[in-house]
Amino acid sequence: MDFGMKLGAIPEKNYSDYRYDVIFKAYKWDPQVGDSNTVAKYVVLMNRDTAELLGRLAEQLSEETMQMEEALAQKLYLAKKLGLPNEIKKALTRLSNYDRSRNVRLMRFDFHPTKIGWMISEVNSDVPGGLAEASVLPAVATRYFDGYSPHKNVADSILVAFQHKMKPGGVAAFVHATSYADDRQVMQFLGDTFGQNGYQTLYAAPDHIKWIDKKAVNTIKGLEGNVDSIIRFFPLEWLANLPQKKTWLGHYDCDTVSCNHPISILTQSKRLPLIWDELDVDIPTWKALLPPTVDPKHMHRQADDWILKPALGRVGEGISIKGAASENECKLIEKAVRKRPQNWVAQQMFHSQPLTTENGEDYHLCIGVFTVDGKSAGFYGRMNPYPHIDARAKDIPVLVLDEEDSNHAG
Amino acid sequence: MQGNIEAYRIWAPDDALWAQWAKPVLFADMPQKVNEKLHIPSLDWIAAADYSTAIIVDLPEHEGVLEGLALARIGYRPVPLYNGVCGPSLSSMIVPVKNIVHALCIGSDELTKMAIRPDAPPAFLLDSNRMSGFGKQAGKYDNRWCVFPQDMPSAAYLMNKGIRNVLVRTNSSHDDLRHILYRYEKQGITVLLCNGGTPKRVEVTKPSKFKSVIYRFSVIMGLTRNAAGGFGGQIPDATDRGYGIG
Repeated sequence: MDFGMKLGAIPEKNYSDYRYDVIFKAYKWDPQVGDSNTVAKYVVLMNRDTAELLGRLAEQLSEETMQMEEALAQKLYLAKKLGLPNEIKKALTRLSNYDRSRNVRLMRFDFHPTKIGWMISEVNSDVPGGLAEASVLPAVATRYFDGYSPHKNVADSILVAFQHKMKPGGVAAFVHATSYADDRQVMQFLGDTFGQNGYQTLYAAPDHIKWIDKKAVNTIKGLEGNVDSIIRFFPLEWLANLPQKKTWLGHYDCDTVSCNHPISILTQSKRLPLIWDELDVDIPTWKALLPPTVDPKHMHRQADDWILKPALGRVGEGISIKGAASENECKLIEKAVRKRPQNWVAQQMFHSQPLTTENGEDYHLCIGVFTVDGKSAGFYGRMNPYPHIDARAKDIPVLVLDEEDSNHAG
Repeated sequence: MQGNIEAYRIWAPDDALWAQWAKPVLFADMPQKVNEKLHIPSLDWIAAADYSTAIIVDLPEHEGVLEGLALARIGYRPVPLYNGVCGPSLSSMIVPVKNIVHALCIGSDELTKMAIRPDAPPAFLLDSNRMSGFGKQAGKYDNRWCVFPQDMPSAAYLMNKGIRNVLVRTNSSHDDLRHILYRYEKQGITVLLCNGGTPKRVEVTKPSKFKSVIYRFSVIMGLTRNAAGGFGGQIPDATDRGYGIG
């Protein structure tokens, strides 16, 4: 099947410079994971029709996702089936006055080329990463590929969305797990974008934020004061594990512009497909692109073409893909599923179709398509030599054929 | 005077065998370089580079950088693994990193004067204060950090490059490093400990949670993290550390 894209190699003589640029200009502070270099030597060269198709599908998925979470906020009895922690379930009643127009909604849909066409594996609805990789990486790579250009910029889209909802020069708090450089790199990138556009930036841990009269207030020593927006890169389920977990209840019904608002957890759960028919929301795109998904209690244990996923898993970890995960890992996962099936989901495996380089190497690809307030906002590419995109996957920039060169598409 | 990319290139040149593990975090926001010299110590515990021995220097603050430069003088490749970030202000940070940044910055001048072979054995540099301090102080920026197995080469990779021994130069020990050393030892690498005197072979005690469901899943699901939003596990806590190489 032709997906309207191919892999192009970064010229060997330029790769070293490219990698250094990626580390510092594209905030890639984790260029090595174990023995794996996570900066690909390739780029995805995509034709315009494919870019437009993926953007259109992501926009449809985004709208359907927002409709589902708004419907769920009114039918919270269904949220009990999503495998959410009890602390979050108790806080969900505060979502009843959620208004999407007062917040910024960021999502990333992960598309995979498969034997039967494009499919999605998930939406990263709560705290999607890959922002610098989608915004800066293509700009760094474009110099090596005439006729191809970066396609949209998710950081700019986020900035513009906030400019419509936040006062000029206001304080933007970037809330993250401060002990992790990998998370700080995401926040630093967005913070620099906001700082260059006149906003005051604040890098904060969750426990630096207090909620007073439904507004966020910063408590960092020497920098105390009001916060005008919250950009969170700290998973909502982690907030429930903090020592002063009740402090963050204020986030659920706050007036401070948030990205993402806690309502995102409702569609972050991989168990969403188990209840979506009860929401009275029309979701044809989701149903067409997501593989069949069932409660693990209803999956035949020996089924080789089904995989198990944690309800709140991220980065493709903790997934039992036979052939990609080790036998021991699969056994561990199956044991965990037997113990708490309500925190897992079973999904029919799709068969990823790899792209082949000029040297004959096969790589499996995942194109994460960002949306900001329902509009497509850029591509985040990752690739692996095996059909599972995990933490060892290499980041690969996606470049799109310029319109005047569209007859050269491969 | 170098910018951050130039300084990082000096510490992590692309033709050096072990440089790809160098962490860029503290190079991301390097200050203007001041005209200052570092006091690089002489080493009593080692005389020359041993190509079958990798070194892990786990010393407080910038002492690791200084010993790393001293090891470079005798033929080792210093590889900074500092992975803690700077906080919004110096006073708000739990782990002070300013002196490390400063030493890396000035140290790049020293390093350019040394001719280190591309296949030189590695000296990985860590800050033994990385988990020091109290985690949840009101208003403090928690920039404590851990080193994880995926921050370093695997035992298989080390052995494939001829490394048979790992020598830890430290005055303390941390559970996060013990997880790594235990893996190395289990796969046939000899672990040596040096607190400034003669290095001694040690047997690494099994770390808490090693290969338990909790640890396994925290590594699989939470702590193998990347910019794609690698979340889901536990947040490391200063109270969750142990001691006891040997």
